[in-house]
Amino acid sequence: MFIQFNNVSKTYSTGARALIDVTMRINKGEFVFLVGPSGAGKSTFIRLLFREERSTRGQVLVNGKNLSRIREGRVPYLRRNIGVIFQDFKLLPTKSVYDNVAFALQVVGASSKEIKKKVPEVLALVGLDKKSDVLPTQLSGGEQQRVCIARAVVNDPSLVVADEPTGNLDPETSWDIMQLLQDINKRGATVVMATHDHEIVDALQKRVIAIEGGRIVRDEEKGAYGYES
Amino acid sequence: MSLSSVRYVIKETVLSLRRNTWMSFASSATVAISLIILGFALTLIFNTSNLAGSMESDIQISAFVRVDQTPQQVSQLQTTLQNLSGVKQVTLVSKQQALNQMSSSLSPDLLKNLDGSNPLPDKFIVKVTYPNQVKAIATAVQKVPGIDRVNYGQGIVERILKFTHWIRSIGFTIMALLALASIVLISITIRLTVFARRKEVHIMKYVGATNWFIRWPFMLEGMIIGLVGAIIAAAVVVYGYQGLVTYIQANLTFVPVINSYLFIRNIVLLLMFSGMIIGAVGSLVSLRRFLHV
Repeated sequence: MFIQFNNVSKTYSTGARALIDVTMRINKGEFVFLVGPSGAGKSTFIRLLFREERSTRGQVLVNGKNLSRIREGRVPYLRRNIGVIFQDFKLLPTKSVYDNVAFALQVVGASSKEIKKKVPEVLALVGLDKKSDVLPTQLSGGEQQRVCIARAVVNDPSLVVADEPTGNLDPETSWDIMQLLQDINKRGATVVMATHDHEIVDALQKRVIAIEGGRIVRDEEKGAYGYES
Repeated sequence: MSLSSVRYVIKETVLSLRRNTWMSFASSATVAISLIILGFALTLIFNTSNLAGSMESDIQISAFVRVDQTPQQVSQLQTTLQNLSGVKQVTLVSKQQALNQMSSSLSPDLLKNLDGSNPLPDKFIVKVTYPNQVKAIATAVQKVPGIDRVNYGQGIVERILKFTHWIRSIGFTIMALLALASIVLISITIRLTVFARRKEVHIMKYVGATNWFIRWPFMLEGMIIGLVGAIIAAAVVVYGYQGLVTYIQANLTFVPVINSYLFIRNIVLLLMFSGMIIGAVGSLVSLRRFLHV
């Protein structure tokens, strides 16, 4: 799963220009941080990757498919190969931890046998195998984010995108989450993560793409956060 | 759709109905009220249409035979008329029958006073298959040799036909409008339950559920809500209509009303079918907005 942007621009119907003529490539298996001030276009970048938004101009290629041209009916099948992690977790409060994760498999029509096998596996991976019957409201923020990650990766996606996954978490919990994301990356998934967390970016020494005013202003291997926080 | 998906859809539907008992009940009540109005409108429309139909079937052509025709020629004429296209039925009213009818309706002494002579002509009653062809057929009958003149209530027939056409068009317009109003009402009510679950819908979209997979539980829920509403409405309409029929038959004997098991059964089936369709369409309409993620 590689990602290629060719002269991508995104202008919202309000007239706001979120991305301007962005060209870049992310190879299979990379771990990329997306940094930049608020409103720079990071979230738009992320949303283009799983076709929540369509680019106004240019090509967004994910695994060779141009997401700007893809038919609406194909979008669900595209998303089954992409795991999305949210800052606000987006868990269903009325379903248990187990059901929240199983949900992702149910709605894509997986067999109950497959669900019974995969959900405990992925809950063990995120360290929540003992809390599978608990409701999300009874969990800490870090634990809720783990459920969100478990849900994102239960389908074995080859791309995982995360929009500020540690934005609502304390530093210590954030490190646990980062460890988890690195594990997922080591298992072969490409990871793209938008973040404001300079300590994490500086410490992990991954590729950093910096966006300002809708344009890429910096793209370096083993980069640093590079902004005063 | 796999078996586990079917199980998932059914489970979600039941869960949602249980979780939103009051909302579901309110939606059912909305459907019921709309369908009660629709049901009574339907009985009214069908009865008016029935009345119009019986008025139309009363339309007939009287063709008077020339007095110089022999009985053989008269029976030949009957065959000729029978063979005209658009003619359903031809009945002969002989001059003797006509005289008897006249004397019984006017005065029993009439026969005596006429002293055996009969001034009345033989007459054919021609019934037509399609009432709107009556004018053309009457003209054709007139041209048959041996026919003296025809009478089909010129002028009145045209007005009756216009009236029945008008009744039917209005009836169907009212029905369509009521159905549309019901869909709007139910979609507003269901929107509240969909809104409560919009987060769930969004997550489903994010993890790659197809639109139809998301729609099924909502559609099923809408159909059940619609069916419950329809059953309530059907009960009210059937009992109400039967009460009305009893009253009309006792007090307004000259008004013809439809009172058959078949008619009532059809109304019930139609209401249930409409209820389910209205519920399903209403759900889909409310859901539409939330699927664009």
